[in-house]
Amino acid sequence: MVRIDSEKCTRCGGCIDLCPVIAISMINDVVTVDDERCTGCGICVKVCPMRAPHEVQP
Amino acid sequence: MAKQYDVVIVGAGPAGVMAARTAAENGLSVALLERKTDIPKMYRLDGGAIGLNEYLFDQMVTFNPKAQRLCLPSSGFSVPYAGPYANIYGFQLHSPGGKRLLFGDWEAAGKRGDEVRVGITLDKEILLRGMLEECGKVGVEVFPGINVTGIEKTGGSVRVSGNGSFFEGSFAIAADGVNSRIARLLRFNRERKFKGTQIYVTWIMAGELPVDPGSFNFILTEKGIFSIYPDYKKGIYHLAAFNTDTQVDFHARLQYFTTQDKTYSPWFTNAKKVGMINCVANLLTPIKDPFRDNVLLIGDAAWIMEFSNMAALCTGWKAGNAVALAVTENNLTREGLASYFEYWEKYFYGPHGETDFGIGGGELYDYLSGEDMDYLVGLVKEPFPASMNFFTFFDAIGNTYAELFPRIEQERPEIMEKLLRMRENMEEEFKKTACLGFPNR
Repeated sequence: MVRIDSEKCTRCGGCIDLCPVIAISMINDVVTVDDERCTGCGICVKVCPMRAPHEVQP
Repeated sequence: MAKQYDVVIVGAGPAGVMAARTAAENGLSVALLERKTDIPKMYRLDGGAIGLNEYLFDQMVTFNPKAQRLCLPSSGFSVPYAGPYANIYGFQLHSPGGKRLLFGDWEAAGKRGDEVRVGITLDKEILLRGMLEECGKVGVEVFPGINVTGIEKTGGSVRVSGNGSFFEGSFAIAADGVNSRIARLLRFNRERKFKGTQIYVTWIMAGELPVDPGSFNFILTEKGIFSIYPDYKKGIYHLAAFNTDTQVDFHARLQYFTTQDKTYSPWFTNAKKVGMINCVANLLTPIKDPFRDNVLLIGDAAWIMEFSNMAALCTGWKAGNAVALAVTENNLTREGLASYFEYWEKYFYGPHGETDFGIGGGELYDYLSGEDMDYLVGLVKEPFPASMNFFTFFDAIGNTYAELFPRIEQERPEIMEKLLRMRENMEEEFKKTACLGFPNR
């Protein structure tokens, strides 16, 4: 599972735009991952300028 | 049940808001969707500037501070801007050892001010807020907090969905930016050439920096290229590092640049980091025919990268008018939007769409030492004309150095050899850049 560290996140939206399965969205201006859709590909982790997304054990 | 509109617009940046206002002025029913809840709030890095009084894509912006409007006399519309601004006088390129290559007459800049400015930095939140107010007056229905995840043609119309809501339009306009999701969902990206994923990390610095007021600075170092540009607020600067290799530790580079770089760290003695604003841009070549299934792609959604606020406004304005014509003539097809396609071809795709946008392509410092770059930058003594037009900027540098090749060959044959090797490897480097990115197809 991927979680986004909201302290680090600057809400630029890069991960939302590049997620290949549209699993990340902005809900009330907070970036959130939908675990149902996420395949754990890790692109969001790689493109984040703040390294805010990270893998966690479910 | 989805509510029916003449046009549904996805994305409330300058292109989408302009299209919405223009279509609604013409009497169309318009839904404007945006994923942010506070629409004008800027979370993503933006140039924060607009070029003035010169042609770009054959269009021009002027600023009328009395009426508080940005005007586009070549196109025939204007937008409100009742906010702070600061003049920009041109670019400056700095070498690792502190040599400069100038665009513009910096002495005149200090004395003649407004007369010689090439643009202004502005508060984009205020720009968007003002434009949204005008949208409200002409009846645009604005839906914040809608993250569009689906778009499909249903019979004669287009159905856009997001967050469990549905919006149906005779047309849809995708103004959702450089990483356009609509372009991906409608499979435009499969036909585009992928150039790379560009990441920009910007530190907002407060204090006094020894750069010329109103200068956009690009700084070449042995540890990457940096840019410094002034905010509209006095004493605030944006310091950016950018690269197409997502594995680069941008913050470490910025840390090094501001505290250890021999030439440039002293610039930051009286400045401190007060914030950050970033962006990720996926670069795919421009779209020649930006229309499919009654969806028209405008602004950055159909271009390759940040396309300038002006181009966003122009394509939004033209799209709003074209859709209004199609609806008025009851010609809800591709033919109905002919005026937009002509415009796109004449000013945007035609002149620049096939430009070989050389993005990434290796780092200068993979090929050249700091001293080499000092020598090359130091060769050009006469300033180039000031401009905010990036095409002019790159052409000026390219042409000037091509003319200097014989001299470089004679004076510093080893540097010439490196330059030639760089040129030889260009294609290879471009391919490498694309491999480092995430195509988003």
